[in-house]
Amino acid sequence: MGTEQRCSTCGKALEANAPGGLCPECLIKVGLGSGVDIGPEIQTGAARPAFVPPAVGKLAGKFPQLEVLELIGKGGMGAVYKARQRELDRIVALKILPPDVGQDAAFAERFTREARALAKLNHPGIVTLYEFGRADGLYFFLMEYVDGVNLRRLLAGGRVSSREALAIVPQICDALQYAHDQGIVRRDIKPENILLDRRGRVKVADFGLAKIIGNQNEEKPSGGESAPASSPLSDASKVMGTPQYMSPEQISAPGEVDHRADIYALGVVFYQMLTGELPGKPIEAPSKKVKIDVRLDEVVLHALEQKPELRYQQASVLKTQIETIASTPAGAPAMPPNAQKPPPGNFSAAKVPWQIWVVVAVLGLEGLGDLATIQSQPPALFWLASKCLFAAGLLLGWWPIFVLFLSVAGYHAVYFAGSASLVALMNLALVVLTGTAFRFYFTGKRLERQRSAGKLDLVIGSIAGAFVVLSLLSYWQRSGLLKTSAEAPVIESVVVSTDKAVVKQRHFHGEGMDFTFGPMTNRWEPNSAYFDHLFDVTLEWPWFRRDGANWVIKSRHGTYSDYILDGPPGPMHGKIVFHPGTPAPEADGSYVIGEFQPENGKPLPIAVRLVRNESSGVRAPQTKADAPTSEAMLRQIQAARVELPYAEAELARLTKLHSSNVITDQAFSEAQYKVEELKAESKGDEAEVWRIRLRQAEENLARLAKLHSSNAISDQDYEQAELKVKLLRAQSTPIPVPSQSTNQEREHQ
Amino acid sequence: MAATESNHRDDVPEAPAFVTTHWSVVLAAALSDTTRAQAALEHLCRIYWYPIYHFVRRQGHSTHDAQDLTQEFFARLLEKHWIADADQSRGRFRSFMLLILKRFLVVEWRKANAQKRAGNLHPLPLPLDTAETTREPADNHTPEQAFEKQWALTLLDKVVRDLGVAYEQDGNGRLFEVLKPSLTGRRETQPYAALASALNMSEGAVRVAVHRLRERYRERLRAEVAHTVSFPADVDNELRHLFRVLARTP
Repeated sequence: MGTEQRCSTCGKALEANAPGGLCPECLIKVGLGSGVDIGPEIQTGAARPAFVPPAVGKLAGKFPQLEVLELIGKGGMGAVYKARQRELDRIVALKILPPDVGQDAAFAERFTREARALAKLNHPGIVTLYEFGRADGLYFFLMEYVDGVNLRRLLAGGRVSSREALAIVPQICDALQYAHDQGIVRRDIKPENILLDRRGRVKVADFGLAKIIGNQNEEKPSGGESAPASSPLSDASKVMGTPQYMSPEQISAPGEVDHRADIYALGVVFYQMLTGELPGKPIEAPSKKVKIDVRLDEVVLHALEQKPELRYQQASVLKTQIETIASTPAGAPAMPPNAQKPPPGNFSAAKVPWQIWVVVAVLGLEGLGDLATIQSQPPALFWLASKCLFAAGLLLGWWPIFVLFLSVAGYHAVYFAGSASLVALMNLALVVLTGTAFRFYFTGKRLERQRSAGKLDLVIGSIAGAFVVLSLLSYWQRSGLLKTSAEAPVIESVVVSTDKAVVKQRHFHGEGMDFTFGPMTNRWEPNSAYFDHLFDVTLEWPWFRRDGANWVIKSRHGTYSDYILDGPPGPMHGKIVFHPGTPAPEADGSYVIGEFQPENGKPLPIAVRLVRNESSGVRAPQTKADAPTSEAMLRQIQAARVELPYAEAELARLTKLHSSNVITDQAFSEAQYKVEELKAESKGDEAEVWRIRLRQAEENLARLAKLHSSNAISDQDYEQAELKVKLLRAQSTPIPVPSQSTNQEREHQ
Repeated sequence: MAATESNHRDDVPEAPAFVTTHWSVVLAAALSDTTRAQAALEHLCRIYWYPIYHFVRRQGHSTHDAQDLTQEFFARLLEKHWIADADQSRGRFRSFMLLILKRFLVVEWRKANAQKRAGNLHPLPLPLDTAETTREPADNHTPEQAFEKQWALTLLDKVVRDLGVAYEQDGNGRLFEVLKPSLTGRRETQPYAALASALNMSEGAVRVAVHRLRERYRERLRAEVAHTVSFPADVDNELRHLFRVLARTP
């Protein structure tokens, strides 16, 4: 194919199909950009063999000023020799980098810059850098020689006694603090880099070398690329810092790493020293694994916080902590106040993460208990407030708040629940038990807090006590009333406006509301399956008033007048119209507040009536038991159940894409709708499915309307969307079984 | 690093506010049929058809058969039956293509005696007749290795050419021609003095121009790669992989 050409940069032979006549490998390198090295082991064309350190004799030739004595170690980052500087007659450590590291000018520049910064470090805990440079193509460092072992060797014998650990770690902290003060972050603290000389002094070595060699973008193996041919990933990870010691942000957001990553690494090393093992997931406190001072737990765990802002912010603080623990005997009454307070509201979160899960679980259970037992909704604000109190009480461990919550919750459960339901009481009992358990847990830790609370404790305690008493009274009274009273619910007033009816009752005892349709002689009640579709019913209580309750019927926003009424003749599509004014009561105690005008058929008056709690009121939708279940439907439900987890997984995947703006809103919402649809399908709730589809189509239509008005889409496209909505609307109301009246209507049409 | 620039010449409408890469559009639309996904997929296919063809030929098919198979493959792909299937390799367009191509060839081999090829499917216009004349010396790669290598070369070729065209359109065609070797070259082998005199510019200006050239090239390359991965963060990984692919000794 003609004369062979070579790339002027990397020397590889150029093939005939080279893009633009340029060397493809070099082209990719440019694409990766300066500052991001591919990795020293993938520098040249061929797959690189493992780095073999030059023999002592060979090396001597390159360094005339040194007498190279012996090879003392080698790894992915080069080799270290013991040598003697002839002129100064001192023993030094000579470290050389693999020969093909960093051929280009950018590397040389970086190398010089970093090494100069390191040379400025002058600290007894840091291995001093004497010289650096390039000799005969080899990058080298001349460093202080440490006669001793590295921590890795020490750990190979298992764990280190806590006394030793407490002697070592503060020295590392010192060195770290010094370096951080100079603005240097190590990012590769690990036992191999911590040396101990014969006198027990700690020296941190290899400062910043990882940074110089420049693999700052930690490579994360991603799907589909697990094992390339020469598997450089394992080598690469050696070069870039051992993963076990890397802080979470080093892995996930390497650009935002600061000195706190070193503190994390130190935490790992500390943990390893104390227990002999690396911290696992979830992290177990060291005192649980070995017999050590419990106070050390806090220190270690604090350093190992996943989030940098929750860790020790300075290495010196860690050191002070350790020294305090080391100097005061275990079991001392009070810990000295932390020099650095963890962020407020995070006490328990910082130390005992599993507690949070329990709190969440209990809150969730409580909430579910609420929903299950309380038939009429309490005001949202109140519910929210009680939940916040609960959470605050648990998290802060402040017992009085917790009791306050309990009593308020108890009152609320009994009073508003309206009936002495066993479940409500069990709910309450569960909360009490959890609270007591927590209270005992927190005793040890929060002793000083509780003492200082003092008077406030008393006040809150008594308010809480009052609530407890009130609850008990009301419970007793309530059950008494329910058994004996035959008083019929009385409506005090009904005021109707064009879009809502407010029904006020005299003595509220938790009765419900009944809606009936049709003239008095021909009353029927709708199936509540469509009830919420019919209109929003909100029941409101003003705080702690016993003598009145408002039921507000609000028309659903957006579907103002279009409703589907499902009753004995079958589902009917139509409008709801309220008659403004104050209606007079009918013979049966109901009030006509408006009428329902079906598309086909005569209007039906809507009347509202109060009934006893047990019978009706705002009913839950018809249960699945009533729905017709044919073979086909069962199969459909089954199929939907099978598909649902896949759709949800897909949605989860797309959520990520969507949150980083990689996919459109519309694509994302389509996936969401699919999941909703499947959920409804798997419950066999056909009506819901159609509603979801209708909603989706309406949303789509609204979106397209905007585009259509600015002429971004064609008339046809828009009409198609309109048609779809119409079809769905029609489909969500199955063909009504014609009643007498409607039949006549149709004949007339 | 974000693929905001759409440097292809088709008028595929792009959503204005979002950063979308072709491949992610295709993936996201696997749930439902959208014309945008179709267009994006077509666009990708038009760029990367040669590695497909190359792979098919490597399997031992004759020129004519390979052309047929390639056409058929793309036609089927664009019917989007397969997007929903490929699961593992959804991360990269390249790996996805290889996977379904292999599947497709297996299926086709089984139907070896079927007379009817896809007569009624929408054919993708590909310059298949040029495929045989342009390329490869024989080497010892496996077909998969060859596929990946061709993929990388196709990508680079496109980027370099597009860049050249862009410079031409700006009226800087000659500049590009002269500076092109500096795209990858070291300063020592491409002394700015020589370039400066060739272009009638000052050395300082040459330095700036080279830097800008490299920057633009880099942007384009990364954008082009981003179109074939699903997360912007994968771009580096993909580039590294392609580098390793090219670095394999034949």
